[in-house]
Amino acid sequence: MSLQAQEERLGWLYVSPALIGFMVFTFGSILRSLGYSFTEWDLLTAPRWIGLRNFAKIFQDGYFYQYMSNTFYFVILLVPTVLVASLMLAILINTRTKGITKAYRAALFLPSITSTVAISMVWLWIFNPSMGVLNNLLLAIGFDKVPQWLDSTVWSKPALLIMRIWQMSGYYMLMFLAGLQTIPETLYEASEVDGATRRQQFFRITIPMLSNIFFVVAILLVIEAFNMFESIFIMTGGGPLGSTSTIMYYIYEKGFSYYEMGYSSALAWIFFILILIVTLIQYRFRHEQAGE
Amino acid sequence: MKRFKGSTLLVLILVLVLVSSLATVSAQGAQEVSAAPQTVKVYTWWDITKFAHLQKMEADFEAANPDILLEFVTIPSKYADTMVTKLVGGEIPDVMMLAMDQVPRYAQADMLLPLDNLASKEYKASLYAVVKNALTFDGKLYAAARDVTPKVMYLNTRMFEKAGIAIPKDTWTLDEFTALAGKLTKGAGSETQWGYYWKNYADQTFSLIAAFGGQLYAQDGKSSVLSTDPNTQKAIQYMYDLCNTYKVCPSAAQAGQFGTNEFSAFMADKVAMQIGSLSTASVLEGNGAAFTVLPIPLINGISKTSSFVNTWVIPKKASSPELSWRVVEFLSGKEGQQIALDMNYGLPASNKVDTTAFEAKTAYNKYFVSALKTAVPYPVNKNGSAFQTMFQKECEFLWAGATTVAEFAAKVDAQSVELLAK
Amino acid sequence: MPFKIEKHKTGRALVFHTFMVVLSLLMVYPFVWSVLSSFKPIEELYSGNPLNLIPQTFTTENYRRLFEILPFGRFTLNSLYLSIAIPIAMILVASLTSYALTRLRFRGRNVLFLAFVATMMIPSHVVLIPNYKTIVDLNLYNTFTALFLTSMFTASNAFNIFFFRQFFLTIPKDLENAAIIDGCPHIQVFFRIILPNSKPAIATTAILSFRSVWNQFLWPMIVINDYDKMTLTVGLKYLKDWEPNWAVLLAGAAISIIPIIIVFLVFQKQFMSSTMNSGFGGK
Repeated sequence: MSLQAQEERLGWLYVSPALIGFMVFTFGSILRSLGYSFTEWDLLTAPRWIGLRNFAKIFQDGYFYQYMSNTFYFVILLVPTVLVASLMLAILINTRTKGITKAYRAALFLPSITSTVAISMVWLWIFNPSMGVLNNLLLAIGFDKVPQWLDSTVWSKPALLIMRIWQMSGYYMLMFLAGLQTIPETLYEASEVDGATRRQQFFRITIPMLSNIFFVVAILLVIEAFNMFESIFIMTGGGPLGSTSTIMYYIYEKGFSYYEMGYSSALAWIFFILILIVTLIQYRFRHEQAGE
Repeated sequence: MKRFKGSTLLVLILVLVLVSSLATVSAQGAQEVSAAPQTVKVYTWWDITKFAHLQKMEADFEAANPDILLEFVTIPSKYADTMVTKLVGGEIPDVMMLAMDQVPRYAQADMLLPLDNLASKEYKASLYAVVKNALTFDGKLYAAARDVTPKVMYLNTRMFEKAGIAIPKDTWTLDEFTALAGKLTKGAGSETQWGYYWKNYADQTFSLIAAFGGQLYAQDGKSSVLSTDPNTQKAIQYMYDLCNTYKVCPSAAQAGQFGTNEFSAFMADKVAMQIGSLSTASVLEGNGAAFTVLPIPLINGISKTSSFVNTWVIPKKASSPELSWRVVEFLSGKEGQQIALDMNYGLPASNKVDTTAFEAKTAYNKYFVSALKTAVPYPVNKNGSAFQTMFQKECEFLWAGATTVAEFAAKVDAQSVELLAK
Repeated sequence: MPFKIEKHKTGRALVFHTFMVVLSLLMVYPFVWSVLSSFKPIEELYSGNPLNLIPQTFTTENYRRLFEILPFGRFTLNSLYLSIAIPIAMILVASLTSYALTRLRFRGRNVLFLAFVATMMIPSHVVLIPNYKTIVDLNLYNTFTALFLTSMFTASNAFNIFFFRQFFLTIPKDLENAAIIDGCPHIQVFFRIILPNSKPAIATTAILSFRSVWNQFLWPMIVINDYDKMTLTVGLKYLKDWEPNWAVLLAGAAISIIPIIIVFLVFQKQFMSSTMNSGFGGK
């Protein structure tokens, strides 16, 4: 066998474990999920073909629209806030290199380390309207009326937002930090010689040099915001009155609480296509931006 | 320095992996060394470490059957749904508890072993009619009764005392009840207390519907009658008013902060009255609550309530049906029921059990027995569990005041047509 | 003149440090509060002032009850075992696959790579139900194997494949070329030359995978039912179902949080550089 053919055979051999595994658990699963979305299946009996009925039902489902708007609420508010917060934090941290700054960095990064489940339990108690830390603090400061947080349909989403921002900012701060550290000091020095102000430096040097990281972080954040699940599961169970249910949560609920597996699969596919479109839009935007 | 750290780390990790995998293996090994008597796994939503009567039943059964060891497994929440996942996943109990509203769903999906051949004629004849209906599906017997429980009203005597209100007579009317609930709702912040509460479970909501003489399903079982049955409408309006007009009930979240048990708020002396069954008494006693019991308040001169049957079933794929049946027969037969009754856990589903001693125990025990005689059984439907899930979700919005009674009833009935038609 | 500048500088430094300290305290506060409060008796938690950090009555009752209700010791061991063993398996598969994708020329290799990368786009919920069915059909329900398989062959490992490929592309080929010319088989090249030179990539993927496996929740919850095999995160959820006592729940949360914080503090540098690297630098 020629050397080339040998190499080809070897190549396929080496990728075969991953290939077969991914076929079974990812590629194959995606297709099967599509298949299930055309059926009615309660796990106990065999799936029953019903064509596009699930999709029709979804578009008539009031809860679908409510949860969709909740999902977008989280994405639209979470992504820019964390982007800005983590960037600001990175810039702050980057200004000094003393030992104590390392301690700040570790402290800021700490929230993202632990499991969302564990830390959600803690925040659940912090947000407790009568016995929790937050409201007692607000009362102590001087507020008369305090929000009911996770018990209120109005304040439940902001509460989750607060918790997620707290948890994620430190993580993305590090990515920005990595980016900031690759910007050559000489650029800043040269601009200073030219008489640039700090502000000009920020907008003309820092931001453009970070564009790639910015883009990566934005994509990751959007996906993470869409995928928000564990915090909702532990802290509100989708309530009160569905005010914190997202599509992700609905997919789980329909699948493993109501045992409507077909409907859940249909929801999952709609969700998947949605994320795909959003990501493609981001790529497109980036492409055009980079082309300037 | 770095290299030293690296290799020590590697060794540490390898040791850790070794130790933990050994631990896993040894745990499995310990399980495999089986004792000579055979183990029968019984799945329940009760916690055997806390429920004395289960312990007594286990002890008595094992004494009478030395070749069987009972192992109780507890699924504390979302029992019915969790059991579906387990059964599908291949984790098959030998015996399991099942609420009566889930029996049709499981039976239809062929997950239960029909008991006609195992149960004796004598056993079948000894059941109250109301119970027998709950255990049968499609003409076959699929479940054995654990107990039947009619609903009664529990009153928190400590809270009544503190408010200086006397315990009403057992002929109390609904209006008196409403007034009491109002008087017992007061306070603010962490001092708040409420007059009445019920957890948003379909069977709890139904007990008040039954008290008004209302129904859930139409005669043919193909739709619900929330918007057409006048008594049901009155009942729902009343419950809505309790929450939103008279405001004597805590929200689910407010009640939930005292614990996950449906009676946690009552036990924390924050709710003065709550509907419960016989087993509630054991739960309350176990947590040091001070209470008494009255029948459901009279509406138009009649005190009516609903009854609920909890059952024991044998999964179709159980490894040894004969062993499983021996356990079920005991638990649901005269002996098991007597223990349950003696220990205040459930009213017997079998008319062979003597209730006079039970009634003599406390002043209020007679209410349980009399309630059973007039109780309306909880309605069972082939697609009942899907309906219930939808019903409970819609109820959440109604009790919170996010929709009107008319809208709610219309919405539920509309959805019921599709859910119950299958 | 110099004096003035110094004062200005110190002023700025003071503002900076105050701000950073407050921010850091905000980040760290929930951890400190939850761990300390887990030593408070339930009455103090309910009626005392929650802002009190130090318990008035110090008690270990909550922890005693915690271990009485559910085998949290077992949970911790399981989590530890899985968080170390699964990443090892993941890295082996990912690195070998990436090696083939970068060093061995075969038709379709680029398409394959893109396919792997594309899986990172897929939300885990899409494959949840089919994978659950697969596991049940293969009789792997309630086994660790199920957890291994899904971690190794879904999006999380796709990232590792991507990462290793990027890294391998930066390793100069001269190292291997000599060995290959000498007749060394590819597999040995992989293990003896490539891997030892990939320590940074291995460290990064190991840490990221460790963190991701430790924090896994939904899939283990669906697949694992035995308390024997349960992990810490899933156990915590069951604890919440079981036990209304908030002090005990906080104890459970503390047990989940403390080990990983300790690991973090020890391996701080590696944790942070892994995260920084996963952003792929400035350009």
